Amino acid sequence: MDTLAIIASAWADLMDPLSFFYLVLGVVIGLVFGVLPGLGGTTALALLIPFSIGMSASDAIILMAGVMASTPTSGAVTAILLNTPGTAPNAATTLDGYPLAKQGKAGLAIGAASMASGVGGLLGIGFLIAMIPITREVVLMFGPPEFFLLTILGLISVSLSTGAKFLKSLVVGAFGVIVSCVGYHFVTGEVRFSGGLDYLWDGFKLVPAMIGFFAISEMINLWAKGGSISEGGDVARVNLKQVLSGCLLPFKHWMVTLRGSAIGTGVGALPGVGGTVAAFMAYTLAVASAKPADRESFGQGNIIGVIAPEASNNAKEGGALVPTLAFGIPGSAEMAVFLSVLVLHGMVPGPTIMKESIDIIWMLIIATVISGIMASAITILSASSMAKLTFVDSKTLVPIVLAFALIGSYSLDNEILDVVAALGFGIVGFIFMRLGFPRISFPLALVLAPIMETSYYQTMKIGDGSLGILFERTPSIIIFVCIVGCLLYFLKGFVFDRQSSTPATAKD
Amino acid sequence: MEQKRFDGFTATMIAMLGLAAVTIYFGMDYKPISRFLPIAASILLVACVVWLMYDRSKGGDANEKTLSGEGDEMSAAQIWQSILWISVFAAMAYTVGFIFGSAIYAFASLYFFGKRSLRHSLFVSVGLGVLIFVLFDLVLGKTLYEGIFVEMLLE
Repeated sequence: MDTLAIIASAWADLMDPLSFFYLVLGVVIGLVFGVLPGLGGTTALALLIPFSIGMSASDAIILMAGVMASTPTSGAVTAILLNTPGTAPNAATTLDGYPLAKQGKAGLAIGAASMASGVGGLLGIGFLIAMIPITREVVLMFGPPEFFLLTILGLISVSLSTGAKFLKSLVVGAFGVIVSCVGYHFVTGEVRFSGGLDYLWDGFKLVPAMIGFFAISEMINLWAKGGSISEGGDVARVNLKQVLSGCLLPFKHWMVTLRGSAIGTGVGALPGVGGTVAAFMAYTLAVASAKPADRESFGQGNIIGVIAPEASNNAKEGGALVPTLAFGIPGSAEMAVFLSVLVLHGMVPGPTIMKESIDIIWMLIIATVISGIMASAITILSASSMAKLTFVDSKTLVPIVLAFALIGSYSLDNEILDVVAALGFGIVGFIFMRLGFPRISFPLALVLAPIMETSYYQTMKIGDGSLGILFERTPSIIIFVCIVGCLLYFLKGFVFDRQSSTPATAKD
Repeated sequence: MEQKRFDGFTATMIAMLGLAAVTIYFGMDYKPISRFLPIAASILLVACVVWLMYDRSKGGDANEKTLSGEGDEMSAAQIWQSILWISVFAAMAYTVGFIFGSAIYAFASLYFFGKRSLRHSLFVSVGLGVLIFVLFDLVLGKTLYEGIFVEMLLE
């Protein structure tokens, strides 16, 4: 089947009423979770995993695409109206978005942010489309030795992206690897670290672990914190006329939009670096490339300071999908959860998905594009109402989210011990969160450890019991050099200039 | 800098060291293919924990936070209360099932902790129970756990 026929088929599947309903549902859930600071896309995706199991693979991916594409868009609303970023990457938007709202130009900022998000998302997906043929060729050159090293590189580079928290991130990663090793080994059949519990023969399940580590830990935090999510005062009024004129601004400042999108896409494709770095990079570059006379206005309500980070924030999704789909190396916690959904539906990222499920990839692309547009449109029309969601009291929000989190953990296998496991992971996740350990490494480790173990076994088989084969193939040597480079970069930062190491992103 | 007290960070690091030690101890009994990854991860864990603790003893971790650190408006009591109250949900679901457990839990959260009116609390809690029943039992066709007593009766 040629590409056009695949696209047409994916489009037809997406327009099926039930599939389209899942898309809209995903967008709405993504907007709600995006607007509530602390929850975000990862929590939403983790909570939706159990529901997605009963769906077809394509419907599950459509639902997830809806969530992923819409979360960053709504995060800008609270950043502008309440000075409280909905998701971490929206933090850069507060710098100029909130001053604009205080000047009575909230509508202008929301219009510009929503449109920049939509355009950025489209450009990011354009990058993904352009990369498909290239990555297909590259990924076919990879064998078990390369995948073994790639999983190590994935964990190290993600930890490196947390800057000064590199060691803490590795602690969480190593903990995740140990957790994923519980249960029987796929080759030897040995049941490892089960402590005699039948429940642990199959190991810890991905879904309760993800739900616990992200959703329940957030609920513990929210309950302990008390009050409502946002402590802000009144929500600024949003004038629809202003919003519509704001929508034109990303096109007026097309160079800023394009540059922000390019930064977002490029940074998104790097495992672990993520949206926060991309948004601040785009913002910094926007300030640096402004005319000297205009630079003073940044931080006091310059619309360019809203357009640049928002374009980069949404563009990163397209970039982040490249390593996730092509190599099975998720670039963020959100992508790690998405990857687990693919795996649960029997799709193996890497060469297999690029060869055999290209129709699913196209469906994901189309769903992401439509979701992005839909999310921007809904945000433009209902910004004020969305911001009011953050005033929901934690005593109302916690029981509702918790009920769905725990029932979600249970309903996958109808196993009550999964609820206990989710709760346990929730407490561990909360402790890591409170102590400033970046939690991103945990889902990554859970997803990557089985790939690491399989590719290690296959590498040993190919190499007749020796790992020497890692240094006999060009792609694996290149990846090995990258791993060494990452470690040297950390050591350089630690020994020489640890105070000025890369900015801590601590994406959660 | 006063950092010598036994706090959440130290406790967590000791727990991590314990986990690594247990993994290495039991892992040594497995075949080389089965033990490679858990033991490698444990060694990495030990190395990172030791480095972090050494770094901390030198006052090097600028990003350090404590579980109930100053400035984040959360006391240790609040944290324990929160963990306990979240755990109560699991206990309640185990005892009376998910639907009734969710409704009772939501009511208690709103009425006793949230100081909401009886009407509001009842409305939200009953609504949540009905929503869960409709979504899981009717739409998704999944019969949820009905509590230890009903399960025992069914057996």
